[in-house]
Amino acid sequence: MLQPIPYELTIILFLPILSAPIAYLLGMIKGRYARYFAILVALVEFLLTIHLALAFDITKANELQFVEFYEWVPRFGIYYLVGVDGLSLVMVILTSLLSLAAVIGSNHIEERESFYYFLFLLMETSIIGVFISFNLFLFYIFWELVLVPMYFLIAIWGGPRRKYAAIKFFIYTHVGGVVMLISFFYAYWVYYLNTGVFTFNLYQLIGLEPVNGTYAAVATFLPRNIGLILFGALFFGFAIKVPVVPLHTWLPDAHVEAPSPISVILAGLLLKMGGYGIIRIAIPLIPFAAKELAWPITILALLNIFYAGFVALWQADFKRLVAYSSISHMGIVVLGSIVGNVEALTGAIFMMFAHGLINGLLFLIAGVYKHHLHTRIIEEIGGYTPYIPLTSAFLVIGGLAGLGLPGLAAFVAEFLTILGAFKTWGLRVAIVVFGPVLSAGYMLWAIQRIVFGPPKKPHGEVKDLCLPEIISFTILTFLIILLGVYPRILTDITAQFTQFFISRYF
Amino acid sequence: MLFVEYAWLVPLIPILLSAITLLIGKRTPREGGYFGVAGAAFSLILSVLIAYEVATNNLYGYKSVFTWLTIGDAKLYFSIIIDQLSIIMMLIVSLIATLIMVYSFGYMHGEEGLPRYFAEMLLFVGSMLILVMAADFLFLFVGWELVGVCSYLLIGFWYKRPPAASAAKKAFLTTRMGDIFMLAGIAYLYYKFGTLDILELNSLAPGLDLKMLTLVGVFIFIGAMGKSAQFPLMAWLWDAMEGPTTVSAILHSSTMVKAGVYLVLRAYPIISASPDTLLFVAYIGSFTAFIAATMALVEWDIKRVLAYSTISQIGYMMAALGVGGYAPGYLHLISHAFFKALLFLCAGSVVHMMHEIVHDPWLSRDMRYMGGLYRPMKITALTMLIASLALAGIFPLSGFWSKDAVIEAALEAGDAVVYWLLVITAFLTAFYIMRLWFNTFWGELRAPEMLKEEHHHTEKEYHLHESPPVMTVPLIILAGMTIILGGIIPLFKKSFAEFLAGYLEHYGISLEHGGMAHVEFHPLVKGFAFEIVPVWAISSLFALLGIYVAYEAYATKRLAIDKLVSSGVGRILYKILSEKYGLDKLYLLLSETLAWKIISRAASWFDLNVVDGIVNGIAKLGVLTAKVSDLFDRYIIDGIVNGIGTTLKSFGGWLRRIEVGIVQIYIMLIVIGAIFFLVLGFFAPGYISSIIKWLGISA
Amino acid sequence: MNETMIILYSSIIIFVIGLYGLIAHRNAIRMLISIELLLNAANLNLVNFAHRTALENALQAQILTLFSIALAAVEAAIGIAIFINLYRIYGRAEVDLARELKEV
Repeated sequence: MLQPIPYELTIILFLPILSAPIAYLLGMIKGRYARYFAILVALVEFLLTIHLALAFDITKANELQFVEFYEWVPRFGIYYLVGVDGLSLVMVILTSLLSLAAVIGSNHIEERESFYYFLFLLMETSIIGVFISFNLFLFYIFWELVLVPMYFLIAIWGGPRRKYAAIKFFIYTHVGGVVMLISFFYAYWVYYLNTGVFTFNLYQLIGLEPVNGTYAAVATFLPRNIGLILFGALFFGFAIKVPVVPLHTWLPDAHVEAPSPISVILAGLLLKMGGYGIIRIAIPLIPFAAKELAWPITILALLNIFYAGFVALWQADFKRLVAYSSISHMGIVVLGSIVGNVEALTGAIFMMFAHGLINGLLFLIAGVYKHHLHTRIIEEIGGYTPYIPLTSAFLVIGGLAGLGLPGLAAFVAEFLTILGAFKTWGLRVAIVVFGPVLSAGYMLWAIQRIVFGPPKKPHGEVKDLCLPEIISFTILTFLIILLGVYPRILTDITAQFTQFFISRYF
Repeated sequence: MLFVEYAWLVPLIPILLSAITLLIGKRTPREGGYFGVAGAAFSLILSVLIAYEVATNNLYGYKSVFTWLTIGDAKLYFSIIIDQLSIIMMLIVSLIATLIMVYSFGYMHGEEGLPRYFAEMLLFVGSMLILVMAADFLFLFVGWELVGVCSYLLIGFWYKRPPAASAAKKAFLTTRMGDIFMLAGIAYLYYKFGTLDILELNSLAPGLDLKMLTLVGVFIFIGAMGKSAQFPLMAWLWDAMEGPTTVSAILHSSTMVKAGVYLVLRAYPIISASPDTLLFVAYIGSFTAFIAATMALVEWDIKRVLAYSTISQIGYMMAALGVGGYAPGYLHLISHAFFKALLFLCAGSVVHMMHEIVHDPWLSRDMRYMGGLYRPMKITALTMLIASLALAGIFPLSGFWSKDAVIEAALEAGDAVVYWLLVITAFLTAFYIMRLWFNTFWGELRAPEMLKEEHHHTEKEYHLHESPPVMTVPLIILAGMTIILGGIIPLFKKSFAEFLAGYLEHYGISLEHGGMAHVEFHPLVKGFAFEIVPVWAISSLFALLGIYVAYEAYATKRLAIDKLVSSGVGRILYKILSEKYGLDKLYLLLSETLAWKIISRAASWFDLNVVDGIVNGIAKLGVLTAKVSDLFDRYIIDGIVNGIGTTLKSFGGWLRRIEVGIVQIYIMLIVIGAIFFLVLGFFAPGYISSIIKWLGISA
Repeated sequence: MNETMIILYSSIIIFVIGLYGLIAHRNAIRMLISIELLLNAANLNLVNFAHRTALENALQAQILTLFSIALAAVEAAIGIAIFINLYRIYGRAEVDLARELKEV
């Protein structure tokens, strides 16, 4: 247990955005300087979050720690309220970790580097902001703020269909954000009508913090139907981000056309914002709706797992395959968050972290393939194993991790979620166990076509991984194995949180 | 210092060495081979020490627990237990692993990627040990899946060969299909009892109502079926022969495939608590034993014959367990492990040499090219003969005793179908294995005429030789074990049963004479003949019959097998058997056609055209709305604005006509205006005063 | 008919004469004189009624009358100035010559 630094969270929050202009200016001098500076910032950020984690009190993980509170527009209940609890801490660590990995893995971005790293750092702040904001208005600001740099990052440095993908991503997720905002406003308004207080503070709206001395939760003021609709609207907004089938089609295009390090951020972090939103906001705000709608949402989650899995099987583009596998894995997150017991919820949170690592690794590998072999099509990538043994080895590990092999991180998540799902629904969810077969199917088949098979002669020179890639891949792999073998590292952080959450809302 | 406290090192050291080998193996002498042997040997030595310690101090049931994660009341552990069941398997696995690692020095000499091979083998040894030592279903499942991955990696070791890659994937997918049923069973048990500890569940689970108990038992058994290649999840095992023979020897004959049997042994209280589950187990086992043996009758690939044989013999074990023959099942597992490993290693020895002649990896396994190899490879031939006779069940080898025990158990249980299937299979077994031996070692080498080479080499000109000692010594050791076991088993059968009883006692299951567990087995089909004749006579008779037929067919060639299979019924049967009852086609049908071409393609089409189509449609609708709005804005709203302007302009234009420029007209207008107001004032004074007020002029 | 009425009628007659002269003639001087007539008729009327009311209002009316006379003089002066320019351009001072600002 270390001592906290004063204003630690605000520093962590704003460091990237404040460094962004510096990176831009450095980049105007020479492109590479922006990159080195960005790596430095990401590294510092990561170390700060580690310090945050070490200074965090695990035994009180269900309470907000490192809280910072400033009045912004008190008349409307808009405050700067940030803090971390078990869940937020995990997400913040994931953010800084993946940002670091992605920045290191951006070594193939060679044009307009200054602008690239500027946008990247901007985005890092926004993502962290989402995870630590406990005032809904602030939350919304950061939520939407993520979209703008992401749009540009896809539209400028992306693949052939980048313009289409970027616009689609932006508008689609923005619609979700707007629906979410309307829901926020409605809750805010109902709260005002019943308590006379204007506030966007989450903990006040859900009744964990008193307002004028009394605890009031919005949910208690809502008649059943309105509550269901409101939950539905909130869920809709977050579901677009997760994404939940059938609101998912922005994802394959966005992931595929984005440059690989950005796909890492997309898959590893942005999707988690959706899951986080469901756990942090949707369920606590209207728990009775969550309980009532648990079975339909479970069905949706199962749909995610299987539908996306089957589509993944058909893909000829490796990045698209990984994108659909992301959708499939997020199905487990949704499943875990809605069934209402500690095992499943821990599984959901664990999956958010593990999937970030695993698919992050896979997308980085896809980037390597794109850069060295100039293609994403599986048929064309295959057969170069003797020339790129390291890449192939990492691909196999990543693929095995992706299909939920015990000893690697995703297994913990899947196992816990399945246990939890059975605990709530019994044999009705038995079909979920077929998910691992499906993921094994498409992963192994992809590996078979890429790594196995008669070797081909390359046209030009085919290089294996360079040092920065080796470093980031190794770190990710190490963490994947570590979490698979000793999941307590993560579950101990979230244990108090999940217990409190389940006991209160289910 | 108790060795038992370090039991967790037994699986851990091989795994750590595996990682080390992968990273630095290339630079060590023999490219990691020494690491391989060291890892396996370490486990062996430690297992022996632990076994001795546990036996002398009666420490059975020692548990070592590692808390994997806890969330409040939910606790999951990695725990291991040293007891009667695990200690035997630990010894077997590590012993066979050590021998095969040594054998690999010779067999895999000169191959590329050796560090990878030894690393994967070490990982397998560690994982298998985890599996057998696990005391909770979580850890067992971890070991279970890990051995599956090692199997995948090792089968696909020669990754450049497409059949190997495909076989590896098939193995993993098929076993995983079984694994998920097991997962469902485990999850259900957790749902009901809140724990995954096997020992606890063994006590608690029989308390479930019978229907669910049967379901759980069957689910868990399906997992065992997948790993142990029982019908219908067996198609992966013969394709797995694409891997190096050493892999086949350790994974697919003596250890990994036994994992399913071990699972049944471990979770026996759960499985045996329901008579229906037991029936299921027994019938699947005996049925598998039979059809696998039939497939071996027509196979020419030496390794595949052994693969079918493995499937068949595991069927025996399952059948034994199904009818309640706990000790006979375990006994057969042990004896089979040794002579099957021996068979594979001998086959490897033969294939290794054939490869130098035939050069094609596939054809070097084809028995039609072999023959007359007794002369140059006496050690191989003799050890293989010992193993074959053991498999066939000839007195006094180990196989005889264990197979008899199984058939006796079936007899005791009283199910005619199981009994007769097993007995007939004994005949088939003897036949196909001696068929194999005769084709390989008897007569003359057929390779020259099969290859149709221009210059016929005679036997002398082919450099036919025995394998190096590094390969033959393990063969001799294993053969010796087979013989020794043959001597030991009859003497220690009873004590073995008592030994195992120590495990089942905790759950209220007693082992009666012959090691039969006191369980409810309801035979499906009762009654048969030959109860009077002792089992050993029956089995020996059938075995000798099988050997004799094989001798006549392949050694002396007096029995014209070829004619038999090329006409009429024989041909049909031959076709069915060589197509393996269509199981391969079924696998392809399900995976490639159904899953891939149909469902996946449909899902992808649907996603791209319908779901995304809707999204794009909405977007197009948005664009259309924008266009309409634009038109509306430009022509209608702006039109109104422009219209107002135009109207005003024309009004102004009309109004301008007053400006005639003639002053008098202006004066006129003034006067008229004044008159107007005057008149207005007369007739409506109110208007005037309000106008004035409005103008702000005070009256 | 008392005094007030007589003067009222007289002022009306003068007003009408002035109006006629303004409307019906083109000569600028004639129009100016007519305007004077109009204004003086109004003044006459004012004084007339002022005579009949109380002192304070009468005072206001007489002051207004003086204003009016002064303004009449001013306006006549300006008018003369304009008409002299008109005469200079066109050679005669008639108002229907100034049509340059017409619209029709």
